[in-house]
Amino acid sequence: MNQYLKRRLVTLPVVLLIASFLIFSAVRFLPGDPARIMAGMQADQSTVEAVRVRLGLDRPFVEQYALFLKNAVRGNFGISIRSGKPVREEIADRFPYTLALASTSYCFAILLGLTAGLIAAGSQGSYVDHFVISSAVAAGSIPNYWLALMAMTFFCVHLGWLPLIGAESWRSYLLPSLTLGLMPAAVIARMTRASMLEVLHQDYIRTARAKGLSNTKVYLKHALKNALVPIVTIIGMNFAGLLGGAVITEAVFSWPGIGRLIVDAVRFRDYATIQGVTLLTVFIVISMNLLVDVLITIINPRIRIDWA
Amino acid sequence: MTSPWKHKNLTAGTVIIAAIVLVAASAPLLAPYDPYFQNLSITFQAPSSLHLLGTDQYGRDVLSRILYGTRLSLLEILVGVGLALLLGLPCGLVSGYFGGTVDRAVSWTLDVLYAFPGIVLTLLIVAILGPSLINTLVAIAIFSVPVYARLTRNLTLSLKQMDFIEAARALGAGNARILLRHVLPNALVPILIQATLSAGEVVLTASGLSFLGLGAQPPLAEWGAMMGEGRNFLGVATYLSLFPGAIITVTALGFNVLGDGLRDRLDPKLRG
Repeated sequence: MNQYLKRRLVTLPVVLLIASFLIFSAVRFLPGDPARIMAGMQADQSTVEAVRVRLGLDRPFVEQYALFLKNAVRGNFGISIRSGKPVREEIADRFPYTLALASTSYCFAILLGLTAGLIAAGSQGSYVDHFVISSAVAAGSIPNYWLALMAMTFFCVHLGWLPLIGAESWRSYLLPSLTLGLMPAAVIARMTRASMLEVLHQDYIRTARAKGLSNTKVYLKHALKNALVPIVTIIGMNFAGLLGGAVITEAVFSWPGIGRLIVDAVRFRDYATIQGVTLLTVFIVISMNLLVDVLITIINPRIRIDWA
Repeated sequence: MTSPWKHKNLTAGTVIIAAIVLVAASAPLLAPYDPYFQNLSITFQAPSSLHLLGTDQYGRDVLSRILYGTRLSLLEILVGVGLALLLGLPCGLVSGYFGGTVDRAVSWTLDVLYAFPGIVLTLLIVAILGPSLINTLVAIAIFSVPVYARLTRNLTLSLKQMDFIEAARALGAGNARILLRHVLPNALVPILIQATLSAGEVVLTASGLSFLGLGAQPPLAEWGAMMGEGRNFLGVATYLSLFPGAIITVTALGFNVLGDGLRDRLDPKLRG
């Protein structure tokens, strides 16, 4: 393993630790009694006291944080004041839906973005290129919740082709995935085009063409392979944005995922759930960034050597 | 003289944003009705010559609300981007210029902030401060800080190696003077481009949170909040969501195209 990845592996738990401290402190900084806040404003005094003891809020701050961490490692984030269920259970129930939505959206985004970017780069300066670039700029400016609402009105309300809300069948995935995936697709398309254009002007591409290789071979075997590093980086970096976008998309489509869970939690000031879901998303984003770093060193061995 | 068509993005972006600023400035003159005046006898009127974009569930004129909403959107950008610059710029300047422990501390903080998906961090902050437009903007500014801080840091790192900085130091200029009079002015162009590109994102995020009911609260004529109210009447009065969404798209598009145009014109090295 190279030095860079080793450093990243050390960084991951430290960043997670600081993030967990921020998330933990956030609720403590609120005006008022944290036990009352965590138990809910309607809770009676005995419930508040029980929460205080369970969360160790009667102990010193550092000790409280240590207990929070110990519980968090076990996946114990307390009880949701909204549902009365443990936050762990709530997350376990909802997370598979978000994972499924994020995966299908990202597959769509990568497929569309890569294809559009490759086509645009291959026809630089043509109408097709201008069309792809203009569409990508436009797609990056459309609010996904508006697109979702308009698509819902047309396909679900007027035509009745697709279910309006929920996640009952594969048909329920179509609109949320497409509307959520459009913005990352635009970013991927622009990066693919820019990265491919840079590579296509290199000498070794001219050499490959001079050898008589077909355009497809030059494109996919020589150019794309070398253009992949920034594309993979942008794909990885955009995953955080996709998770963020999922929060609103899930609310629009009443999707039973963690995005909707956190929005409902914010409305109800359900801090135990907010803490749990926030920490989980931070963990996912950090892991995703690490995965991208590993992928990049696999794709481009020179990076492995440079960073070693 | 350079033809405006040579920089199509810059021209198109400038025209769109100038039009939006003009509409915001003259909203009271352009709006046919009071945006907050309720008239329950004319609820859900479809677009007509009397109400060009129709009326909502309280009989309020949608066009007037959209026109006044332009002011709020520009305010969102001003506060969201301005606050992020105010916090990010000094962090980046100090971190890049002094290096060492300060740089490491700032970089670690930025790494942590980067680990939060923007909207999740915003929700966490809104949960603490309470749902309101200003709290949403503070939250958006906080999650945008790393973008400006990192950009300024990298620019400062390369600028401080330049001969003119050495010359200023040799002439006896102090750190503060070097940073404010020499480094900052030379770093401004890329920062301005980034700020323009971020402006579109601020509009999208702020109106998204208002759409969810966590930002601007009714009856405020904010585009996202208007869409949020309108979503309950899809199929019956789709225009209640259609028009505010369309204007959000045009505004975000304007800033994105303007940002691209500025980048192409002022900093061709960054062209994507």
